[in-house]
Amino acid sequence: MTDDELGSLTIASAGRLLRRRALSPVELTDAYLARIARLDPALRAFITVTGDLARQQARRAERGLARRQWRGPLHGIPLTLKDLYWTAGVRTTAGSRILAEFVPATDSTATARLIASGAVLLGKTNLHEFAAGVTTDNPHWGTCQNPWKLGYIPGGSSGGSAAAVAASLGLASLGSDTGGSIRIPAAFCGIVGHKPTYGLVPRYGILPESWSLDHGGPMTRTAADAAAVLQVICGHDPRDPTSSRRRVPAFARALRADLDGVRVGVPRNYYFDIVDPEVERAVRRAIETLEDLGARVVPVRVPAVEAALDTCFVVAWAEAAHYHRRWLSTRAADYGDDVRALLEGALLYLASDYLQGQRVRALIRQSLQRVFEQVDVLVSPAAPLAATPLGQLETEIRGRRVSVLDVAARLTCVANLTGEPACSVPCGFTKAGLPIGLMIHGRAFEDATVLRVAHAYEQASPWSTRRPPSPVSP
Amino acid sequence: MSSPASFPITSEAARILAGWAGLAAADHAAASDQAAVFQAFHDRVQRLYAIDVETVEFDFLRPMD
Repeated sequence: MTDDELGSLTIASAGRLLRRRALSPVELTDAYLARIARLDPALRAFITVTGDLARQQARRAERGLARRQWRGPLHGIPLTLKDLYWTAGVRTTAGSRILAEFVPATDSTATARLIASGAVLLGKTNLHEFAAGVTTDNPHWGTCQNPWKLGYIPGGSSGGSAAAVAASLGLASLGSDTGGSIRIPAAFCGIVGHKPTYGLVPRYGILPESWSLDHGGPMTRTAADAAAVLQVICGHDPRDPTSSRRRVPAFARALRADLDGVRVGVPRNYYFDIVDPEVERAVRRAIETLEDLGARVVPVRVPAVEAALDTCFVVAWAEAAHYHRRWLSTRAADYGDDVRALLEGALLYLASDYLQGQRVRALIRQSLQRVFEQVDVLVSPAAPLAATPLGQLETEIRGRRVSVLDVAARLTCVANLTGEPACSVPCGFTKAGLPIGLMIHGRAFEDATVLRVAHAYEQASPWSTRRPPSPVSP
Repeated sequence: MSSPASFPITSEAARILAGWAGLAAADHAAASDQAAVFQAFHDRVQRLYAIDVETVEFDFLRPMD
């Protein structure tokens, strides 16, 4: 299989070839492993490559296909997992030195469901240490690069997952999202990243950052692929107390509907206040495309949302500091400087501070619920800027100095606070050749609507078929 | 949204706060860095206190279902 062929595949197209036995899972897996061996020394998207396990799973998938035992759209599909998901017998580091030797005895629920569906695990991807940042500049496991431009961040915290999908080092990945950690790297790397409704994807076996804000979800080339992965990993799990018991819809079927009459809310406040002009232009053009597809654009105000970033920061870091408290007093030197400083700062938060954050969060949630009485989805940039150079902690947007961490998460964090689904889909490129993401945010448990809008936009635009240029092109 | 006035956290104050939080004692330079981080965290939560939440129940444990 050539690099060009590999680079053009999606889960849907590879699945068709596999099912009719025009392509073998073993051949496909070997092609990906060879590509990882060639490109990952420069990209550092992986912490662990599970070559032997992948070949074993691929052979099993091949035997199944030979017996006409097709397990579904992920049968024989090679993919990766953020190194935060437990994998039985395979180390799960959370991108940290502290958990460098941690080998779980069992799989996370999502891992187990992927394997049961016939997927092939190529490896565990790099991340910002303990999922606590947006650069994936990892001091313990290497600095992950953006495949579109080396020397630029892939975003984070699921930066390795996004880089791997963008560079054709696997057909999909699972990421996690506490303030934007699926959607920010998806936007920066030009792929689709979907943060599901809170409770839809069980979190059993996903190492936590912040219990009330963490979500697991798919990172893929297309919205249809995201729907296929989501279908497999979602659904109730009694081992996760936050797991929903709602009936799961058929996501792929929902993608077939058009956008006629869909009410697309465009925020008049906050969301476009601090946005790079190139990003704003691309997003405004994407909104015009949605209108051309039959959607009705409705300008809306979103009260209280100005407090989202501070609220998410206080709640997320207070919960994270509690999880890390023991290690902060016994193994502080084993943390990277940035993560350690933030966790130590958060240890000072009082119960009263945390509760103030949670009450402001309720205010924001109520505000979004009222907005979703007027519209079906809300659209905005996923991140107000494109990827920044590695090592750059601040940047300038419209003459204003801003922290990269703060500005990257200021729009994504809203859906973490509300628990509603939100997806980033590619909507253009900057003049420097860096991808831009459009965020589609919907009502709780209406993930199918969010993916339907993402899919319709993707079908009407050229961005999802673009691949990174040399030296990491297919 | 207006921010309430901040107060400066000195290196010495940072040492005391760090000890209270159960962190290992820092040297002078580290305590100075820590003071800046503590200050930033303090300022951020003070901005949240500027928001009136009297009418809002604490409801984050409400099931999404």
